[in-house]
Amino acid sequence: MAEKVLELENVTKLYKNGRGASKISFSLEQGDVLGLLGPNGSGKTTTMKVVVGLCHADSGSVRIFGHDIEMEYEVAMERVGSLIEAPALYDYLSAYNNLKLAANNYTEITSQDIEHVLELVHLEKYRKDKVARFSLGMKQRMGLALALISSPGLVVLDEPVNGLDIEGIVEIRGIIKKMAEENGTAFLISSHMAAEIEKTCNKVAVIYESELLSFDTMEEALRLNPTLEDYFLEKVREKRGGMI
Amino acid sequence: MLVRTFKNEMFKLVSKKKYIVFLVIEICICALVALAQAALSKLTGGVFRIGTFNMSMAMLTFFINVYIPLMIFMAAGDLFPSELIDGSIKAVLMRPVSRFKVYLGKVSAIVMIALIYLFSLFMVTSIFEIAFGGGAFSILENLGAYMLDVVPLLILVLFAALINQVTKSSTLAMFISIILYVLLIIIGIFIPQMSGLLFTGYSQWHNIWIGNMLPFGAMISKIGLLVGYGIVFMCSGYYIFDKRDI
Repeated sequence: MAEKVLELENVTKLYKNGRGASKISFSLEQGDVLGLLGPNGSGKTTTMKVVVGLCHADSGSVRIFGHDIEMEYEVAMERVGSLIEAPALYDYLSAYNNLKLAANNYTEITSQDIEHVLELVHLEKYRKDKVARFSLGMKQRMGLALALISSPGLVVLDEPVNGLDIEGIVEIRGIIKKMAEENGTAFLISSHMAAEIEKTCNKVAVIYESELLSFDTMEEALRLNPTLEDYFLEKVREKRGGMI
Repeated sequence: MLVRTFKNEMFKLVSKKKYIVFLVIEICICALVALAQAALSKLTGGVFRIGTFNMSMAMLTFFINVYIPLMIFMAAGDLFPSELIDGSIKAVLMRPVSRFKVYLGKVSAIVMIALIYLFSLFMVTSIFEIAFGGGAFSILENLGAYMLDVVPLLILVLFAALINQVTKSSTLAMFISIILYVLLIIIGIFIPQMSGLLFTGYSQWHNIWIGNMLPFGAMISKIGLLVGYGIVFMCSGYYIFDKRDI
């Protein structure tokens, strides 16, 4: 049986405006690529923020590789890489130094690892350039490099292809699939674009109005629906009692 | 891990060139003062000698009350609200480092910046003192006075870190910090009974060093008061930092 990488149990985080995530439960195993599908403001990012400890859940629990995120934060986060919302970059530092600062938080990351991850996202030519001069797509690639720098077992990516061109999107998709298949890395990816989730993920969860409406394998989701878009619309229709 | 977090925070501060520029300005101010005094002394045939000999202490009063607190407020703004606004705080918070270590790492980096400014001032003024005829004894005496001022500086850093948790704007945080700091100093001046109770009343601690033996007995209770302030500022600041949703 594959190792449980991520377990969410009744995670609730609601903001004062009523938005957020309510009673979200699912789990991920090694090699899983789960796509969180939902419209803007549905609770995808909130769920991810709770997973990586940027937000404290009102109730429920998150366990990463068996470690509770609230009780054992450092151990739980040891094997997690993440990109939440816009890439967290220091604009006044170079691409290399941004990665170096991230690498300093781990014990075994060498400068070769930094070079390797820069090559992976095709930014090796710009290693000495300040991030402030980067385009939106380049910053997104840097965000991915930061998420992958520690060779994590779980990668949390919030809208990872934002700002990327077609080639970039295909490359990122390739990296995700390769890491999941070869290293058993689990991915939690959010997107509001059904087509992207369909091409990248092997599992899908629909989040709508803060609630988790469904959690299926991609195979199951596409068994009765021609596209993931239809699957999403069906789940929303069910939630609204047949009206959409 | 705490040491690595501290190094990261220091690297970020030092990478911002303004801290180097302000350090150069500090040195330039000292040089200008020393040269002006030397020129006056020469022009008046030694009659007007404003005490180049005590330059370290004369400059310390200005820098410890005005210049270094401003650097502390600026560094706190750069490491807390500025990172919240541009989202770069996530770069640290999504790593396997507890928020306590992150907070402590940031506070330590601000303390280090303050110490660099303080002891650079000591070194530069000491060099000028030697150049203008100061003796080794006074330099050691001055060093003791400078070291005494480290304690209230630590409390000021914790105060600045706390204020910077209250707002997400670095400009507003700097403004609030300055206003409160000035207000506390003014209260200390106009209500002398309060001065001993306010942590800002101890920013001139170096004065008790000069020409006297250090009154250790009186200092112990004062240190206790400052430690109390430090604990309150540290705990309150960390509590807000830890509970904040990003």
